[in-house]
Amino acid sequence: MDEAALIKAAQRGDIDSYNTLVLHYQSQAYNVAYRIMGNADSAADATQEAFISAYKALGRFRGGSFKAWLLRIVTNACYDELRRYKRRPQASLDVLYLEDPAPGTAFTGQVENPESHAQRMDLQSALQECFQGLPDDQRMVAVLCDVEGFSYDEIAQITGVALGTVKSRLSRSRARLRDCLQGFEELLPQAYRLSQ
Amino acid sequence: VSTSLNEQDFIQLNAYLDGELSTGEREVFEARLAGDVSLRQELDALRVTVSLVRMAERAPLPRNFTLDPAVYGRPARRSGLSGFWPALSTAGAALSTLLVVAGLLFLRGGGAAMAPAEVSEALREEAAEFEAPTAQTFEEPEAEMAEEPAAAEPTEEEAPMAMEAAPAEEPSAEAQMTMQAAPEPGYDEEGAPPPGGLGGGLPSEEPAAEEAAESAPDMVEGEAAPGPTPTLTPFAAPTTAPTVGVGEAGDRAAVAEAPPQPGLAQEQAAAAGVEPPARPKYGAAPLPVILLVVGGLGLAASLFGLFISLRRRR
Repeated sequence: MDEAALIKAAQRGDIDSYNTLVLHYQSQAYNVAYRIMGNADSAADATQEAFISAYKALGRFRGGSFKAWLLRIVTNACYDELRRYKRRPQASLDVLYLEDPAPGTAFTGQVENPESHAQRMDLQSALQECFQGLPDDQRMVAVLCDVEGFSYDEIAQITGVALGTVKSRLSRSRARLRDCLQGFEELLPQAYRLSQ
Repeated sequence: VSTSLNEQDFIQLNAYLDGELSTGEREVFEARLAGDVSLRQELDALRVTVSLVRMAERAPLPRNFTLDPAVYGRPARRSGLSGFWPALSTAGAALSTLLVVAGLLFLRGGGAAMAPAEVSEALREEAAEFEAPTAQTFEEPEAEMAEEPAAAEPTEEEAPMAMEAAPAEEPSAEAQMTMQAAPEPGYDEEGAPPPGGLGGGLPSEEPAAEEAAESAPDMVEGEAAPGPTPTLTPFAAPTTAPTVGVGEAGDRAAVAEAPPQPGLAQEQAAAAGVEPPARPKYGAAPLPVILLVVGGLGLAASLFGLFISLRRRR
């Protein structure tokens, strides 16, 4: 995929080129939104809103990392969605999450024994709950670093904060996650129990 | 050695784990790590936490997030010429505006040049003075033409020649007398009007008018005087009528060379109580009108094109 050519074509109004970019980045964008928002529906709304906003703002993209630029729009859309949710709460994010089907099961296509499936589901539930227990700014940095694998510089670019702020937020978020996960120790695999 | 860790130590631990320390920082930190048990324990606990967090599975996409071309699609620019059309439209608008302005200036400036206030006023007075002869000059030639058309009727081709020939011929005795009686201040040799205007050079006494009334038929009959017949160009004929009627033969050429006075022709005809000859459909006057119409149409078309271009861009 010639990303630069697609971006230029999309900037000229070629919607097919833009949709090629969407297909390439939509999984990453949705997963960031999913971890930040905590449920599939809100994440889908935020992701769609972000892609529409990105298309409208494409003329202002002046080069650099398109992925970082796009994910910044995604995180901003998530913040907007969270603010909207906090103003008019309709249901608990945790409840919504627990009602969601466990991620990763739909497309694995592998036969999984019930015990293993249950352990994996417990771990995912624990992780999601711990993520949701973090403040928004710390959760954002933790998702981008540990789930999506961005470097500190990229995170600083996406979130629009200084590199030192990224480091301190990441340190605090991991400390909180560790404390949170210790509460689910009996659910974790033996190798991952924190107080061995 | 075990030391209590502060926030900076935890930040360094995370950076070390993520490979975000520079080579120098890493060497220093590893040296410290080798001698600090609590730092090593914290590093191990952090490593387990990060491993757990990285076990978070990717959520399957509920759907595609591609944009609907019917809603968000717009035709991509076909060529580099697309940016050329607005520029062309703008240039067309500017050119059309110039045409309109030129037409307006032509109308205003041309009118002033053709009928300056002083000349117009003087000639109006003159026309009033020679109302009767002028009427005659419109009527008599027709009657004469009916009797002897070959002798009296100067054609359009003949008329200018006759007018040019007039000064060379000897003026009639009456005309010479008039010239002697009122020698000043008439037209100069080049035919330019005196500073005081035409009125200053034209006698206003009744006898002169009578002489003119008498001399006019003479000239029409026998001489080469142009004769203010309706067969001449509508602008030239009425203009020359009173001038010739004065009987100043020396002035004929000068007046004949003077530019036509379209406004004056109507005024004179109106003063004489004669229906002025019909204006030609495509004379000198339509030029500014054509400029205005073409410029206006061009301006409208250019502005419309510009509007469409901007709307498409939006």
